[in-house]
Amino acid sequence: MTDALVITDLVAGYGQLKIVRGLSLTCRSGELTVLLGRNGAGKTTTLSTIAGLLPALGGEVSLHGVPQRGSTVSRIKSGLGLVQEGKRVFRARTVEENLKLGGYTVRRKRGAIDEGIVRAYERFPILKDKRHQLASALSGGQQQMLAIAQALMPQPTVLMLDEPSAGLAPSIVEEVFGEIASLTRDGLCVLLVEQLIDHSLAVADRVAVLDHGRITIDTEVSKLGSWDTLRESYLGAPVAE
Amino acid sequence: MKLSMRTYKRFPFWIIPLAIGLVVMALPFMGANRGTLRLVISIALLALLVVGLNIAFGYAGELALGQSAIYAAGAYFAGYFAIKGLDLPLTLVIAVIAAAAVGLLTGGPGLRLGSWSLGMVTFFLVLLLPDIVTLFGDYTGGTAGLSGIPLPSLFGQKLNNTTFYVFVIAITILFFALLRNYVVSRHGTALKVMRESPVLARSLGYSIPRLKLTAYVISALPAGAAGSLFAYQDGYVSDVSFGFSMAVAILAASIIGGSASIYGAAFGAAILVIGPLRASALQDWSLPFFGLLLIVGGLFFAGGVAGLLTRLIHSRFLKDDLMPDVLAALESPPPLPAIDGKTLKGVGIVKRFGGNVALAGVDLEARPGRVTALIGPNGSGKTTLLNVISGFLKPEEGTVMLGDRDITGLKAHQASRSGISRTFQTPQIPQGLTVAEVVESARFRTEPTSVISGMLTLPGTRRAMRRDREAAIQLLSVMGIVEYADRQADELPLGTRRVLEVARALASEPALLLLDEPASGLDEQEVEALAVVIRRLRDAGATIVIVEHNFELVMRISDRIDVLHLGGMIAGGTPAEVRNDPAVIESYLGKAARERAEAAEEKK
Amino acid sequence: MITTIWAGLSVGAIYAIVAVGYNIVYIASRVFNFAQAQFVMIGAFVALQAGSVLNLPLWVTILLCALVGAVIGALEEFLAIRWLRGRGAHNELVTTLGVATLLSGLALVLFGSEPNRISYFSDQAPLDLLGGRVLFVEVLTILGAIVIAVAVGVITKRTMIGLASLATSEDREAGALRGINAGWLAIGAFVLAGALLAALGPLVGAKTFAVFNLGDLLAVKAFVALAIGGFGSYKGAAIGGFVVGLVEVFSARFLGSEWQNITVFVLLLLVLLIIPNGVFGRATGRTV
Repeated sequence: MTDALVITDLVAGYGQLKIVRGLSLTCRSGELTVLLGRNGAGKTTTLSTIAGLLPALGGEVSLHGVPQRGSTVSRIKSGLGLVQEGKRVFRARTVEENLKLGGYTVRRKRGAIDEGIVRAYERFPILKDKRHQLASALSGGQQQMLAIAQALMPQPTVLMLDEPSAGLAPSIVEEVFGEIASLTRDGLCVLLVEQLIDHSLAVADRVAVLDHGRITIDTEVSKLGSWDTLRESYLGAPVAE
Repeated sequence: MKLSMRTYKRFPFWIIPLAIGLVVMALPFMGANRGTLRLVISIALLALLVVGLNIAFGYAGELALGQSAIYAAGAYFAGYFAIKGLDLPLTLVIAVIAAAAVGLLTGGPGLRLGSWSLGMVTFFLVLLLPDIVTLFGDYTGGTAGLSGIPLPSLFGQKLNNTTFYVFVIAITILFFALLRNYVVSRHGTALKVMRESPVLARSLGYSIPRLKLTAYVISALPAGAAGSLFAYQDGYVSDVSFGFSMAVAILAASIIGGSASIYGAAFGAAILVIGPLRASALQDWSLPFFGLLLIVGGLFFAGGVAGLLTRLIHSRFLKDDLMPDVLAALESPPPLPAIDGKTLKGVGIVKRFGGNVALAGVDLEARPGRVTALIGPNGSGKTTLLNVISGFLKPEEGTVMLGDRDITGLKAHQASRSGISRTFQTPQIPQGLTVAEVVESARFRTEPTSVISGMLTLPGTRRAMRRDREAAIQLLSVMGIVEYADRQADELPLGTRRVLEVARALASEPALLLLDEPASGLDEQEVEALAVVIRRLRDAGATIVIVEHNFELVMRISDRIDVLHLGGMIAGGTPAEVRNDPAVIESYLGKAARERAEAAEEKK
Repeated sequence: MITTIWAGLSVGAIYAIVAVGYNIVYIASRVFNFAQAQFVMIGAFVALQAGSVLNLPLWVTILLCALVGAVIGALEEFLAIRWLRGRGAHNELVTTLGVATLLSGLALVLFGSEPNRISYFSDQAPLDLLGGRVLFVEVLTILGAIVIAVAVGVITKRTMIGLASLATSEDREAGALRGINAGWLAIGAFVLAGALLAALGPLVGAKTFAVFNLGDLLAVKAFVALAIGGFGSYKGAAIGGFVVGLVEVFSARFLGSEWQNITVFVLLLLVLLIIPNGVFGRATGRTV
């Protein structure tokens, strides 16, 4: 397995407000890495900076050994994909238009978009039934599936997902995570940012924990002994009774 | 040699522009020739047009291009009635009333839609002028123009060149004084808040359409007055004086002088009149020249001459020391006043977005003297609930009661006026205000004063502004940030901004305080300071609802925690109860975590 | 009566096309381009020169107009818009107004204030059509407006570039994450709108003559068309344009020519008061 996404000493934030303070993380092809951390730990900021939506204030991000310093568009063209939090699809467009837009970077490749749409419908049959509906009319779970399918359209080599479970009912979460688990099969490198511990650990190969802008735990899931440290990082130390 | 902050704030600096104005007024007695006087009158008239535009554009943030049409309205009305034999003061008043009427007529519809609709409506008005003049040819003289306007007379006395000049300068000084008072009064602060953050303005109880319309109509008044003076100056009015190039020249002068300033209007007008408007060689090239000015000014010249001067004064001539009332507050901190919190009761609140149900019948109760925390994973509907309570969203079903008042479905500014105060996830601190002014801005609706009172700085306004300052110093002192009172608020670090937001939220003496993620982005010390503040407010009797992700903080400060998940309340109780509630653990960590927690519980 | 309708439609067609131009730029870059209508004026003057000095055939002239419009459109985006990104709509309004003033001012300096007759379509007899009299160039303009509004509408909905501009308009950041370069889209929109409106110059100029302030009233009346139809809607732009044209021509005929602009202004005030989002526009809610 090769290192697909390497983050070294990343510092990021908004102006004087530094949210990510020296984060290093390596994700490999064919592996699913989950980055856990409670809200406010800096997860979304990390992903936005990797994708070039926010400028890095320090450190480096590289894809397949190539340092990424350019715009978001150039990083997407280099094989990066990001599913943003909040089921962020183009709500005023139909399902199929959203998928086409997902393939924007491969639009000149003959048949790439049509094949991508076929693959998307195979993966998420419900989207085919709703292909001509506006994305805003979909349920939360369906919007999340559409967001993932959209990011997969250009066949990225590294896919990052930002809290895909947020705002979804438990049964839907299971379904979505089932799909996420299957993504690594074709050698895709997946970086999943989550708050839900157990669903994530069930599908992940590696786990990293982000707290106050730094990685506090970084190990293989199988080597993770107890969940207590994770739990404390979320809910605080047990209250003495 | 630097001035102390105290001198800067207390010294009547308005004496300086007034003195300059009086000197300009005295020019004819110092041997200025007729040409110079004509030139100064042109500058004064343009300055009146520009200072009006600055109120609408620089302060209220609405681009109005119709100053030249309103100028024309003033000129035609004054000219017509002057021919009918009315005195100068009367025609001036008529012209100003006509200007206000045109402002109301175009501002009402023009302010309805996005940021460019007022610009287009007023631009259309300028282009319409020839048609209107033709249409009312009997009154306006049609395309031939309105001629035969008599020399101005003041209470029966004919004015000569010198006395008319003095009168024009006096009117200009009067309008500058009134508008200067208006922008330094609470109304000016309110306009800045609205321009920088409409959302914040609504949460402070401001009615945005009303504020904008007021500012826009006020901006028309000096244009009307200038029109009437213009009619006498030339003795002849024709629509060619008020066309497109005039409209553009006014805007260019505003941008050069600095749109968000009063005295900048005089600079801009002087530069334009002495420069391009006079030089006959430039006559043909005036339109391309103005065009370039707008492009370059819009791109690079944000603050104009006035902005440059203000920055220079602040950096060179001002000491960074504390005001006496700040020092007093530091020495003997005033006590936190008792807060009269009311009970919030939400029942069965439902809110949908398209196919998604964000809130599926939520109940919530928060009592005075208690901290009620609202927690839940991302996407659970916490912020939606806060927005429903504070009037930024309208619920489909359910009721919200504050005390014994039904506040369901009130708009944000109405909810604010009924006693709801809030902070924001991203602190909303407008640019260009001091810390004390930020707090004071929340009292604009709590203790309202009229625009006229503000323009004349009547005792009512002075008293209210004194109380604004006292309240601000008191609250800033309670929050422990009073030493920043006279600093620029947008320079504060994030933690201090959040505390400042809480101070502002308290300034309107709220019955309910909503804190939206106040600890996010704060370091540990700042979180600690925030916790102390929240506890003190609770002990003073406030009703506090807090949405927060920082679990430790919530556990420590809350009296009750309600847990929202997928738009429904899944648990509620004391911090200890909620912390060990299996449903809560599952919603945060997942099902397996719940099973582990339950297994651990059984072992005990 | 029918003649009046033809006249209204032919005037309205011009407003419709300018409104389409506003929409193209607005959808791709969220900018309201005050200077948009000036491109028709540019086209008219290029046609004037091409016809009377160079004696070019009409189709070459139209291409030349489009080329000039495209270049000036690109320059406008690059010099007066690009640097303002993220600084609020007011600066854009000031700089595009500056561009409008600059363009019409240059025309005034170069060609004077007198209207100039364009050589194309100059000696044509009116046709009898459906019981009314209408010039061939007017029919051409009406057809052109309908074709352009429909074509641009279809292109926007059906092509990748069109979809990309709609998507960027909705969520710029999400668009960037799909690989859409918003900067190129914005330039493209200014180029397309500039070319389209300048190409119209010979047709419009044949009716109104080439005059430096041709764009001024066009700018506001096309805005009225857009206010009626709703921002971002091509169908709305076309229908709104024709409505404005008909209102204008009918009020000129029945009330007198000095009323024709005033009624359109009153129409604008009423529309803003009663349906501020236009007939085909969508209300956009905003929350904290």
